[in-house]
Formats: sequence, C-alpha cells, structure tokens
Amino acid sequence: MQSAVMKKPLFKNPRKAKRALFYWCILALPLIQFLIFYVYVNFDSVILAFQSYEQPIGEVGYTVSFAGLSNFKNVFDIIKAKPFLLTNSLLLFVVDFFIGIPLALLFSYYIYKRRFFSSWFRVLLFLPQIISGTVFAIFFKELVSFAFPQVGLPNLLASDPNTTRMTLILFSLCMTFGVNVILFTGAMTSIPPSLIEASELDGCNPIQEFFHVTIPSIFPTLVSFIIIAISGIFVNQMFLFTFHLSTNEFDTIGYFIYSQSQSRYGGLVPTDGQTASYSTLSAFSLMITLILFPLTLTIRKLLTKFGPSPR
Amino acid sequence: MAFIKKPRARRSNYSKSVAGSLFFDAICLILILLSIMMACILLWALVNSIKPGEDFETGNVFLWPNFGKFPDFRFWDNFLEILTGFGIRVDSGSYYSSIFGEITYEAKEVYFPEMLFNTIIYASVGAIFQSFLPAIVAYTLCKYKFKFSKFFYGLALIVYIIPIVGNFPAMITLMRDLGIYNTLWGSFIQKFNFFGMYFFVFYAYFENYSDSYLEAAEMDGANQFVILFKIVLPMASKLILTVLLISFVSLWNDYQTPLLYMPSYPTLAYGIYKLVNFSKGNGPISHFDLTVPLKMAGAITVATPIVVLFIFLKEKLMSNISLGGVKE
Repeated sequence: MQSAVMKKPLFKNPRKAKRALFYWCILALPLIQFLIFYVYVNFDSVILAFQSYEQPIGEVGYTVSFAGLSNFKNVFDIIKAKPFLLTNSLLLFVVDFFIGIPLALLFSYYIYKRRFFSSWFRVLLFLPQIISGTVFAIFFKELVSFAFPQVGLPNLLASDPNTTRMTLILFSLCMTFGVNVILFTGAMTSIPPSLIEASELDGCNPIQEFFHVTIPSIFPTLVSFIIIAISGIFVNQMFLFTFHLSTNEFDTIGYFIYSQSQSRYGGLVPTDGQTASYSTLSAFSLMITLILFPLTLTIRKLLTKFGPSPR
Repeated sequence: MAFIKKPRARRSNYSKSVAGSLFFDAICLILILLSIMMACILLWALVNSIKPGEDFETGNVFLWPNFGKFPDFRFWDNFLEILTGFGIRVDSGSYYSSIFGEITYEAKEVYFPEMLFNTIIYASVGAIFQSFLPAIVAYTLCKYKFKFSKFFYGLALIVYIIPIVGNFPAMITLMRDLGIYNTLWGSFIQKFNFFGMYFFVFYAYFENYSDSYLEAAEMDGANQFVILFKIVLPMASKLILTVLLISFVSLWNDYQTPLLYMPSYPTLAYGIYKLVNFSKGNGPISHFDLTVPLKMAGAITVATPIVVLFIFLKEKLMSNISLGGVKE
C-alpha cells in the first residue's frame, strides 16, 4: 500500500489525502442517515417508553410528561389481559424451531444430494418468495373460507380455535421454507468433496453422513439461522395481517405491535380502536430487546463453543 | 464468509443401504405432499380467476367455469376489470409535526395505474439503494483501511446483532416531525441504509478481491470515483444484480411498510390487501364489484410481473448467497 510515496508540497501525502476525501464523500450520507434513522430513532424509542403524551382539548400539539414506569405497567396489563399474545408467539417459535428448521435441513439435504425431482422441489419451495406469501395467503383464505364450506368441508380459519391456530402456524411454516432451503443448500455445496469421499470410504450411509458430516460442516450457517429464529420470536406475524381474521385470539406480539403502530391520527395519544399508545408500544419493544439481546448473544456463544465441528 | 456458488453436479452412487434410501423416500414423500398442497391452492386460484363472479356465487366453487351459462363473459374479463376499474379509497388524515405544525392530507381514490406507478417507483428506488449502498460502503470500508473502518465495521456488526423489535412508533414520530411521513421520498430516505445482511455478503466478497488491480489503476492516475464506478462496481455487478433482484421482489410484495409510512401512496400489494379484506367503500371504491374471482384475478395480476421476472432470471433469484457465521 505504501509503495507509491510521491512527495509534493501541498499535502504530506497527496495519495492519502485523495483517498481520505473519497472515503468521507462515500460515507458521509449513509452515516448521517444512520445517525438519524437508526441511532436517533432507537434512542427516541427508549425515551418514548418513559414519556406520556396528552393532547389538550381544542389545541394543536401535545404536552409531554415523564411517565416513570407506568408505560411498562401498561405492557404487563396488556399481557395479562391478552395472555394469548405471548403463548401464540412462543408456540409459533417452538413449531418453527423444532419442525421448521429440521425439515428445511432435510429438504436441503435431499436437494443437495440431487435426488428424484430435486430441482423441481427447489423451485416449488421457493415459490412463496416469488408469488409472495401474502398472495398465497389470500388464495388460501378465499379457498378455505368461501369454497370449503360450500362442499361441507370445515372452514379451517373460522371453526374451532385450535384448528385455526394450527392452520395459521403450519401455513406460515410452509411459506418460509424457500429461503432456508436456498441458504442451507448453498452452505452444503461448499462442503469439500474430499470430506464426503472420506466418509463414503468409511462406509457412512446417507443418514450418518447427514449427522456427522453435513450438519457439522454447515454449523456456522445453522447458528445464524437459530439466532435469526430466536430474534424473530416477537416479530413474526404469522400472516395474520393478510388473513385479517375477525377475532384477535390468534394475535402474536409481532402482529400486535405492528397493528397498533398503524393508526391514522396521531398515535402518541391512543385513538379510536387503538389499545396502546406509542409510548406503551415503545416500552413493549424496549422490554423485548432487553430480553432478546442477551439471550441471542449467550446462545450464539454457547452454540459456537459447544457445537460440533467436522472431523 | 459469504459467496455465490452454483450447485455442483454431484450425485453419489454410494450406499445402496436400505436405511439410506428409506430416509430419502420419506423426505420425498413430505415434499410431494407439500407440492400437491401448493399446486392445489395455485390451481384453484387460477381456475377461479377466470370465472364469472356469478358462476362462483351460485355454487361452482371448485370446477371449471360454466362459460356456457354466461355467453357475454370472456375469460380475461376479470383481469380487464382489475386493470381498468379497480381502485381503492385512501383516507384523509392529519398529524402534528413539531417542526411544521399541523399537516393534513386529503382523501382520494387511487386506481390501478397509479398503484402500479407507485409500486414500480417504490420497488426500484428501494432495491437500488438496498443493493448499491451496501456494496459501495462495504468496498470503501474494506479497501480503505483508515482508523474508522474497523469501527464502522464493528458498528454494522452490532446493528446486525441487536434484535430491535418494533421501533415503528419512534420511526413514525420522527418522520412526522421531519414532515416526510406519508411521502414517497420519505420512504426512500428510510431505505438509504447500508446495514443488514448484504453488507457482510459484499464485505466478504471484496475481502477476497486482490488489491493489485485497484493499485494499478491508481498508478495510472485514475480518480478514486473512476475506480469505483469503472472497475469495482462492474466487477461486482453479478452479486449486486442478485441482491437488487431479491430486494426488488420483496419490495414489490411489501404492503406493510407502505401501509405504515405512506398510506396515501398505495402500492399494488397494498391495494390488493384492501381489495381482499375490506368491504365495499371501506377500502375498495364503492362501485367496484367484490367477488371471489375478482379478488383472485387481482392477486394474480400483482404476482404476474414477478413470476415473469422469475422465469427469466430464475438462477439469479435463487442463487446461493450464503451467509456463514459472521466474523466477529
């Protein structure tokens, strides 16, 4: 890097000066954007959690006051009044974690081994990313709620709550395979062939190869996925917004926060149809981040430390 | 580590073991069931999208349309209706900005062409930002080893790891204060960020790229910007294009962000969401018929451009941008 040192009087090192100029030209705008739309927003989100807003009648604007922990108390009240928010979110996570990820791994292994019809399955699993899960959800909703009852089948989205809940969870599971499979197969194709040949010579069958070679080899990718799944516990909306159900007993926390943020007028002071003000929602978000951040860090550390590595 | 790889053609002929083939057969069975389910949903939607609304409502909910009963109906009529007649009503509203004071926006009716326009602008600009910006910033941080580079990389990593959930209220409040809530360009400013997974994909890509090319160009007196635009970006164009396409598709299908930050500028996905879930006049304009076949036609119309894109650029869209463990 230092090979071309040309001495000119204006700068000590004109090459370095030029490079520095370029560097800051490129970075200036993204950094300003970052400071405002990330640092400030999240900082403000924390501040909001401790504030309460009121709108004096007949006036424009708000009066702001320090709220102490009352917003956090509101959050607990919400969770108490709607315990299903938490259970739905957790149930969705459990199914995703213990069924979704393992299935995605198996599918990826199948496709990676180029078995029967594998390229066709790959496209098919990816289809919900193209047509979009939302459009699929629309198709599914109309099929189930208009066509099924006409021929005596149960409306899976409006009969008994457990059926509906399971339908919603499994539907959202099916929609998410595509990306996982693409990324897992991507990781699998980069396993060195020599490793696989060695395992074959040792007489491994495909199942043994899957557990002893494939999984350990793609473990770093898998860790990323596990972390993403964990940080998504309270974000996942299960396509509830698209399904637009008439009852709220299937709501997840992610859906609750999103739908409550969406308010046409104001929002800092709760308005028509809104149960939580922006301050309460921010308190909710803050609590979730405070739980998730240490959790994901610890799990990442543990998995990396005690996870398998290819032998 | 991140890289793009074409799946290697390898099929091992090892182990005729029974357990092994049973294992694959079981996975195959699940995949087939899943395929049948998805194919049924798609097929049902397609068949019903070309059906006269009345035919569906009088009980023909599964089978091929009875075109005989409706001689005036042509099978593309539902789609024609979506393209020419479909519109939604956007509510009026007002909000308080601490800089600009009270800001109000009008109620209006938005028709298909305008929604299409919004979608194209929203998805293209957003996708360009979300692909070029991480690429350029990753290149700069990777190849210009100034004191701050490590710091910025660490920053990007922290942002990537901290799971922030639902800062929508603070974001909306900020956008309202700046007066960019409910504007298209407000959403562009929002998307003008480099952090996220793709930053690391690009960073790993540039790390593997030798500096000698760049240094040679510099020796020849090329300006830093010339190097960026004439050498670096063309070199990374394949990766950038892939990221661009992926972002474009997801923005095209995104309706939640527009709904939250720019309610007066409905995109197609937003419009279809309203079409399917709201009653007449309370979303879709009051003189638009709301039959299931029309809803299906609407949803298919939104998906079609992306499906066409997919058919032509399948390998690009499904290319294995793999993300291993991020280096810490």
